[in-house]
Amino acid sequence: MIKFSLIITAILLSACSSAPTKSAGAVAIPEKALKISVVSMDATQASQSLCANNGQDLSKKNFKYLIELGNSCVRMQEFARLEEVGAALNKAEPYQPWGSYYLSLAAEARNEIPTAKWMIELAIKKNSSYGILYFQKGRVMWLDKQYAEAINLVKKAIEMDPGLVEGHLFLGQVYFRDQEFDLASEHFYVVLKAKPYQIEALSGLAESRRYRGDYRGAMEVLNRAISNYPDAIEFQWRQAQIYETNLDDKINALNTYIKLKRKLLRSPSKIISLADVENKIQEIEKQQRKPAVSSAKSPGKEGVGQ
Amino acid sequence: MGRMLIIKIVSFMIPALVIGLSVPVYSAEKRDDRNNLDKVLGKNSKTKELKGELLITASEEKAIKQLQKLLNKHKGTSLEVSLWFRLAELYLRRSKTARFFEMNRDSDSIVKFAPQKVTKLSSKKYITQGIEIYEKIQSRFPHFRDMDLVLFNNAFARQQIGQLELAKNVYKKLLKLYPESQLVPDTNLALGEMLYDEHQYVQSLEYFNAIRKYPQSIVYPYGLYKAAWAYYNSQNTAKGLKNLEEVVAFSNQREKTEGSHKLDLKREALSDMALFFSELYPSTKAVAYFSEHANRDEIGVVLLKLAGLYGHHSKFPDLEIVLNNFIDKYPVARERSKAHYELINTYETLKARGQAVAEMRRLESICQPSSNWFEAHMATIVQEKENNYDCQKLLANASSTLAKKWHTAWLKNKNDQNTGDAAEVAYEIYLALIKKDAQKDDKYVRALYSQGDLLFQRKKYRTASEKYYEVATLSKDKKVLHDAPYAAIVSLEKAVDNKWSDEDEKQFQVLSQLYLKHNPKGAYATEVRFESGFIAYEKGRFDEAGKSFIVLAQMTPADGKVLKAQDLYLDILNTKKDYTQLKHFAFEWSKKAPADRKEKLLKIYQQSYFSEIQRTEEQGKLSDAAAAYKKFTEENQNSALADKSLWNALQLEYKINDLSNAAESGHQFFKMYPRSPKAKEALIKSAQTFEFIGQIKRAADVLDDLANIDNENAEKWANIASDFRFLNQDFKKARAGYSKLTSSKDAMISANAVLKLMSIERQTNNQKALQKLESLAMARRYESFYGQKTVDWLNALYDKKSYKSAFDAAREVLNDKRHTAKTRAAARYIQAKILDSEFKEAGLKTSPERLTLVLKIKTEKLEKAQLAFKDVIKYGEPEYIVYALRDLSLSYDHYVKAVRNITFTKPLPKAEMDALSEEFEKVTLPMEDKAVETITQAIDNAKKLQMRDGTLAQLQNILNSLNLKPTLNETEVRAPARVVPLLIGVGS
Repeated sequence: MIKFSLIITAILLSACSSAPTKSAGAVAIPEKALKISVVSMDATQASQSLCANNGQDLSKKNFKYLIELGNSCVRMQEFARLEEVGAALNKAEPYQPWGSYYLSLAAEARNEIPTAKWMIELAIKKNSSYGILYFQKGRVMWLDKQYAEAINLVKKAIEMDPGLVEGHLFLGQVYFRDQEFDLASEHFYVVLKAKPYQIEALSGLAESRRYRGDYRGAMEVLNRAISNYPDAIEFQWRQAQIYETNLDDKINALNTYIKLKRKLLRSPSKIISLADVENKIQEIEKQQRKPAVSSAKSPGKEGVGQ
Repeated sequence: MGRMLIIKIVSFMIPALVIGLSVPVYSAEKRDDRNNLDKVLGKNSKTKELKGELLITASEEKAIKQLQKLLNKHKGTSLEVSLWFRLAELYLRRSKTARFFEMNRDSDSIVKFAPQKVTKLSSKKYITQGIEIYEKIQSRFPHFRDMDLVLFNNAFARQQIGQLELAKNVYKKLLKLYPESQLVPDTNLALGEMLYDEHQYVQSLEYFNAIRKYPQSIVYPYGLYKAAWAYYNSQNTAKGLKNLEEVVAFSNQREKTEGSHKLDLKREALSDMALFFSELYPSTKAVAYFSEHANRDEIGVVLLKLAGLYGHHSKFPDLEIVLNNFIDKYPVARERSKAHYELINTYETLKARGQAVAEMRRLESICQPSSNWFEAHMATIVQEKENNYDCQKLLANASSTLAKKWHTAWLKNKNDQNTGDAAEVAYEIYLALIKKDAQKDDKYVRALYSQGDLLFQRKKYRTASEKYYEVATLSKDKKVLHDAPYAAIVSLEKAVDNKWSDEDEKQFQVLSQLYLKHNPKGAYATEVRFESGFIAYEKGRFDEAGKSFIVLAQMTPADGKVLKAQDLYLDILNTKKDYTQLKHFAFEWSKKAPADRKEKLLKIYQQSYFSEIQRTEEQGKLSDAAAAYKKFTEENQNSALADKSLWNALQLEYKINDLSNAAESGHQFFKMYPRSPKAKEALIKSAQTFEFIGQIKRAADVLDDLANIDNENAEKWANIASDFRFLNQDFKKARAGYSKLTSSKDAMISANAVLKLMSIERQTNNQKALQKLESLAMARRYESFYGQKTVDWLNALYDKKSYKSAFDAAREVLNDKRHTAKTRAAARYIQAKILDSEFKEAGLKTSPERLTLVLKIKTEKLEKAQLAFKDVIKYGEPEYIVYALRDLSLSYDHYVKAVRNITFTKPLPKAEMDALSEEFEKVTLPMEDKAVETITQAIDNAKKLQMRDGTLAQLQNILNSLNLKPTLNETEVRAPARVVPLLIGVGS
């Protein structure tokens, strides 16, 4: 009998441990609550100046203003102020999830992960129709090392809000790391459709295509990246490698390495050393036994490298 | 006794008659000298009389002196005796005068104006002087021609001074010596009277009856009359009655021949016949009997006398018979009014008030100017001095007297309806009678007032009101003008009994205006004004009533009516639901009210205040209503409605989604009214709301209070409160809260408390406390902590390469079925790894001879490890499935590589070696595929499980390695960047 009860206890506690905080009870949300259309926005697009204006009586501010203020504080990483904005929003529009959303962001910033999680769950309770809320919960779960749940939440978030670029970028990165290059390519592609020059997406898509064997596709993406980020020498390094290794185009590889060498001579990089580049040049020149400059003069090859 | 009294009266009367008779017959003096006295005494009747007497006295003195001179002059002559007789007569006259003076001795005017000498004269002295002269004449002049007169006067004079026996002798001497004298009847009468006075009735009859011989004598009827009384007193009433009948008959006869006579005894005789009749005959014969003896105008008096005698002897039925028979037979008799009157009094004596009233009505009927009786008599009756038969006078007397008497009697016994009714009629009759004089004196008004009182007392309020009103319109008396209209108002109110018709209300207005006209500041002015409003109020005309009440309500001092006006005005405001005004006035009037009223008014103030807020709420001004409710509670903390008000406020705040304030109000409600049945509900909702709006600190505060009052769920609320404190990083309070819950009988609560405390102590680096808590968690086998600790322990043994210990420990775990599947999977995985290590450590450097054995051993170890990994997979724990598949794949790969790279202790010939290598290649090729297949399975499982912590990348690199592909560097994937909401539309 005792043994049996202990087993039961163990099971119960196991269940309990997954729900660390209980609730005093649910509050019914009225049917006529304010309806708001919301899409996610990169915090960098929020106002900078708004959050700088401290000392305002937030109880007098309207909902729209408080949202803009909250966004501004996120951008400015003014999380103490963001906490105030969250509380004010919860007072002004208690049935809206945004007060709790900001409080989740603020708690997360303080590394109070359980609080951040509790707050975002509260926000979802208030309104479960916004992808951005699940995205935030996914972020919190990721920080809490609950990776599987984080991935599922982000996936749910982008299903609900396909324009949630950060979700796609994140999933692209995860799938890329886990060598699921098809999936990674899909997400990077979505990111680039929304933000054509998103650098991590460009990088990720190029690499994914390369590992999938789509070298031309990879070169296309790298060209776009290089044209937009001419100083990002890793793109040229990768391009050179594809010429050299995957396309067996030693001439374009050599020309690309030589251009890279010139850039490094002008401004050294911590990512790619000049020595490595010079070794590559020597290695190819040795294989070709031809002057690298002549091959570099081919206008067609150069065009691909560009 | 009756008889004796009558005798005394008669005996007193007789000497007076005799004296009256004697003096004018035997003296005739002129009286002249009046003028001087007139000047002194004036002309009024009393002084005239006195003046006359003084004149006589003066002339008599003069005459006496003159006679004495004449006596001296004519002494011895034939004139002497006449002069003596004259002198005696003068002395007797003087005695009379002297007596007169004595009788008037106490008169102030006599004492003041009469001469001293005259008043000192004694009557007796003169009479004695007269007697002495008569005696002198008798002795000196025995042949004096008027000797019978001398004897008579001598006897009479002696009789006057009480010498009765001497008088008798003188009278008898006269009868003896002068039987033919004209004075014989008078002398018989005098002797009979004296015997009669001595109660010698039979003896007296000798003298009285002797007079019968002298029918022409003036004293003849008197003799008959006195004989009747002597018979009566000697018990011979019938003979007595006969004598009286003779007296009457004699009178009737003489009246026929001589007309009315001065000394007629008929009336006295008839009157006395009543007495004698009453003793001889029944009352029923009375009218007939007296009709025979008396005239029509005499009979009434006699019968009234007879009735009076019956009444005197309480023979009321006889009285009733006599008078009623009289009235019936002589309806127009003058005395009828008195007969009714006597009957009224008789009935009243008998307490037969109904009959008395009926009789009064009969009297009233003859007293109508149109009645025959009235026409016949009233004109003459009212001319009479005594007017004893004045019906109006009698009726007024009877009705007023009896009305008062009956009124008083009824008041003493209100159950006696007959008396009450009688009093009403009596008042009615009386008032009808005297109404014509209403303006002359206040008798009518006073009687009317009394009638009103009686009617009021008899609860005949409407009529009473009418009477009082009439009094008020007639009277000029200030007090009456105050009391009567008020009485009329009160009577009307009682008559109406709160059911005011329009007519009644109109009358009330008339009465109240009358009262207020005469008494604008009267004692009841406030009450009257109040009542005016009250009627309108009762009839639902609140606006009108309100106007009256508000004027009264503001008056000072606040007497009873003012207070009632306040109450009713408040009631009207309440009915009209004018809570704002109701609140205002209740508060204002409470300021000067005494404590108990103040309390009541404040209660009304609070209720109206509350209702006003409710109306605001009904109008949909919910935010205003909520604020007002809170203000009410703040201002009226002792009100019975205070808690309800705060409760309503918080409910409205919830309704208008002012959740933050609602939650605060709910907590406030508990703090102010912790014993309210709603306190718990308020706290629960507050806690839920604070939680809902993310104010977890406030939610925890509320839950702490909730835990204190909700014993049944105390631990539940305390647990949640601690969780909120924990979330809020308030470790101090969270620790305190959880510490109380570690011993909870609720396993979930106690486990949560211990595990959260461990988290707190870990974060605050309190190792000592943490260690203690971990021991507790281990002892209680709290999962997943207990399982994780077990696994950590096995891993530690494994990491120290204490494989045997680790293996044995894992076996123990596996044998303990209380462990979770995950823990047991982990334990088996440890064993699998140990077996895998043993497999990998088994070297394949051997001699050709031992090759088979070595391979067998290596293969067996692989099988053991494989079996263990497969056991791990069987537990179905996803994470360990992936690990087991991964490690198994690597074991396969290890086996392939180990077999293909076998080295021998002594070299084999090349051909043999090539053949052997080719054989090894064939043997290991499936195993190589198995390695790839297994790691692929691991990858698939890891993908299903979303093992995105780098495990998948690791597995992919293993696969890459097996497939001879380059591996990729593992990169860290960080959490995605924060995003913010962008509003693109706000609707409702």
